[in-house]
Amino acid sequence: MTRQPAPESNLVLPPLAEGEPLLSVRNLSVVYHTKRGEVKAVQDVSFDLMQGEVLGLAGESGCGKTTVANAVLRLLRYPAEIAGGQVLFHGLDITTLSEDQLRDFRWKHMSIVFQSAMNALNPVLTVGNQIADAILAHTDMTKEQARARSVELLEIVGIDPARITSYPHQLSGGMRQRVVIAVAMALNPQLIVLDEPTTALDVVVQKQIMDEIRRLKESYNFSILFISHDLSLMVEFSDRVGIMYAGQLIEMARSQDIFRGPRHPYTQRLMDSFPTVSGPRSQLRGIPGSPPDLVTPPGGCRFHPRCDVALDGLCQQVVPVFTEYGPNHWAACHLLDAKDEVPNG
Amino acid sequence: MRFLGRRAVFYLIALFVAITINFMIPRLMSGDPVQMMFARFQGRMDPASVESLYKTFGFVDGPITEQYASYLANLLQGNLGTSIAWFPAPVSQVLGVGLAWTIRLLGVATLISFSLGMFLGIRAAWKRGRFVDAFVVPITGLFGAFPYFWLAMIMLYVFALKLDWFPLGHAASLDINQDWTNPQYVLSVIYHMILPATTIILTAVGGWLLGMRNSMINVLSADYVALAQAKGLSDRRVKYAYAARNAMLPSITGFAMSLGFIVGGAIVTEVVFSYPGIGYTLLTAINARDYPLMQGCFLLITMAVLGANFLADAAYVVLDPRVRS
Amino acid sequence: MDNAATSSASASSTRRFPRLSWGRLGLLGALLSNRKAAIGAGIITFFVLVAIFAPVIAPTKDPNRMVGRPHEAPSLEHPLGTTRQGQDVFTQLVWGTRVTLLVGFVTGSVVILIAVIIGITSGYVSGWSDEILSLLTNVVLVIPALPLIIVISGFIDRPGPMTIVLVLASISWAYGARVLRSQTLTIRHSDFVAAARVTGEPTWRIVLFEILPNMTSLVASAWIGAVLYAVLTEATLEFIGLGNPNIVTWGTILYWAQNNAALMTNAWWTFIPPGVCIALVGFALVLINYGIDEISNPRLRTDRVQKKKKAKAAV
Repeated sequence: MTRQPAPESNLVLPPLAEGEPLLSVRNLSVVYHTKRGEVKAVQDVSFDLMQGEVLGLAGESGCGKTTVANAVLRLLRYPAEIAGGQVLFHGLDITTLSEDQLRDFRWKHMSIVFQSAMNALNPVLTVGNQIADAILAHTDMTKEQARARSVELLEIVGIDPARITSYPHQLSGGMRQRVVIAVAMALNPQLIVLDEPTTALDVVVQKQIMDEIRRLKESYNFSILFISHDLSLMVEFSDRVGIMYAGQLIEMARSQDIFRGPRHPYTQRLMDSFPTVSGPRSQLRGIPGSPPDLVTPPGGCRFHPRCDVALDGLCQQVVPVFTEYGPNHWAACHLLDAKDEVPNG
Repeated sequence: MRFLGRRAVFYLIALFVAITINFMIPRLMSGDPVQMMFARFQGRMDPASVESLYKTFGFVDGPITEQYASYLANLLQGNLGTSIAWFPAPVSQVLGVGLAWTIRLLGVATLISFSLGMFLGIRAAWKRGRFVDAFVVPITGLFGAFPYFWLAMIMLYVFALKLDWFPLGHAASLDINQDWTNPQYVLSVIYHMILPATTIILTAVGGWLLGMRNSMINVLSADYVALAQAKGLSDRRVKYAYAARNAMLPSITGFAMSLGFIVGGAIVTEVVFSYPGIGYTLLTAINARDYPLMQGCFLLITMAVLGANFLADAAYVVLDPRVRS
Repeated sequence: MDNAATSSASASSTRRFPRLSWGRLGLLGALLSNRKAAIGAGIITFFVLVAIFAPVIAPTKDPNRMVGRPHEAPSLEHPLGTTRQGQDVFTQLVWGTRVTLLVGFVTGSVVILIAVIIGITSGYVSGWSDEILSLLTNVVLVIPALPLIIVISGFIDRPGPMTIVLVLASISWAYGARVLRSQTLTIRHSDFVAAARVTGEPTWRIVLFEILPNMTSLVASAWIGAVLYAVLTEATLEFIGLGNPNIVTWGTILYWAQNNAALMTNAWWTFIPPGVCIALVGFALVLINYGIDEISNPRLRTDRVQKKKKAKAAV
């Protein structure tokens, strides 16, 4: 099989200015074209990710967190489409890159670990080949050099390098996920997106993998955008956490602040519905109702139909603004404005 | 290797079943096939041949189990009996000539239609709704619904009779000495093969194409293809090494059934083009009510199909590491 | 919709088994709203009508009657010309529709009946009975069918249509059985079958009311495939002279055409029309099966929006 040479890089990443975020998502919107109409899967989402930071995105299934992750890497395929907004990496807008530029950019600077390690590896190629493929596509290395680098990568993620000739079915679930992580680290990217990296694994392996990632992050100094529905894992692992509901970011704060003092009623319910090992014992509660249909999302605050403290006449009509209510603690809820007003007035 | 061993055992069982069917068929018909043939060829058949014919079918005195044992013993010695149509040539000799022609014709046609089907299937799935997907898929589907023999007749009528581009039949020009070192003879063989091979390819390619297209569409939405694209691999590498390698596997598994259809098609194609293969031999045998030759044809075709299936299994082992362990 | 971004299609078409019952079955409706299937169904309906109203459409009652000179070209009197024996080809074609379709559909139905019985039994009972049935299925599948059918027909000596039905059916059920077996295996492990078993429903009720309704599209496509196979094989057998040449079918018309050197004498009207009819019926059946495929696996569909998008994206 002949290989196309790696496309000539015509992308120059401007250096990061002091205090400039590594990744800055500005008013991102994503729609899915379906027969029933446009599904507004992500709407007006903005956040910054600083260098060296672990930023978590959490929410129920279907809230749009994975869609955001894929949009950041421009992995969306029809019927999904970025409908608006910017994704700035080093200040460079990724949404404007051409296909060739994108092919060159992706993986070199930013990579992703998919949800399911079971399906993310090609069953008919050795894991060594699958790691080397990424290297060969982006560098001028020879096959031997790429192989040596693959061996190194396997060692880095804690796999016996002799496994380089193994096929995915010969590895356990945990080992496969380690291989996928090795693939993601192949070109030393500055940002790795982890999309529920441990969903398919049992709890013990899950812990091992997360510890491994933390160790690798310290040694290789990459930043992480961490997607998960598991709030306790997220709070433990991330520096800051954003909560998404029905395609929108509704709260974002440092992990301990989200954990100790969630402000948005939805985050509060979400925290209630998760058992924590270390936290105080409390009654587990679910959230009544189900996420809205995103073809015709509810007006005003998208959470109002399920919110037991919604304010009549306000939450139904007016979209709440994402506002900073405490140090680095942002949320979008009318109730918080009302609360603030009461003690002040 | 355990996989191939298991498959080999299975094909032996299948062959055994085919042999048993062969043994049963003459016993299910109302008359005595040997007497019927004897009546037909009176004067040309000596009592010794009649005796050997009875042996061919296993018609010996004794209970059916004994007959079966005698039949098997006879068969194991490679004795398929004497042909009536080509009397007194032994069936095995008649079959040998035909088999070579059929394997050449069918080998070429199957190889081309399979590769073409895979290639076009990959293309149709890769570029959904574009030319191959929108036009070639339905058109080859239409050809797949044609009866083989009818398409063969049309090809013969248009390209041999009306346009006179190709010969009307046979496997090679009769004016050239049958000598494989003579390039003129080889060219003549290729020239004679074009029409029958094209007929088989046209009717067979649609099935491979559609199967590959659908399988490829499913594989293209797999996570490992998304990862391959994200990794920045060239389209070529993603398409072939990641998607097509996996999408091909069901086609190879389905080879057994498809081959059955193609063999059926080849038989009638040979008939229309008077192509001297096994299919044509089978028809001659039927018209002459040459029962030993008919049974020999069936047995030989079955063995060839089982052998081809085993080759497909071996290819599967090469392509899918999961069956290797 | 968690991994929806990269594989949104898979999210909507994950092969789950929503419990279906006979009452809520919408396959027919779904089929007719699929363009390909609707065209196919239209063609089949046309031929079925021709078969039913053959006595009204055909100029004469007896398709074998000599009504003209041999090999007369098409004219107003004989719209599709005459055969070597001076029979009217159009009349033969109309009457031939009856036998051809009848043999096709009856054989297809018998084939599918055997396939359903063997496939579901094999998939539902486990253990050695399944082993034996699967082995039998795979053996029948791998033995080349047409040569076997030819040899059997050769020994039977000029079998009529009903014999052909029996011989075809007894050899052609294996493909359907294999497909249905694996589907049965999948459904057997679903929650609603487990629930039915726990509540003590008898096996035949589970099979008939829990499993079978969930395989309609598969049974339907296997049936269509079997009919197609039967039509083509019947025609093939008759063409090579293994049928009864005095019964007029599309296959025997072609047999006579071939025997009377229609190709050499340029009597195209004797071999083009019956072949076109067979091909049309075959293509219609293939179209219906495309439709069934697309309904049960929406990913295979190419809708217009996608076409436009793809065309734009693929530069």
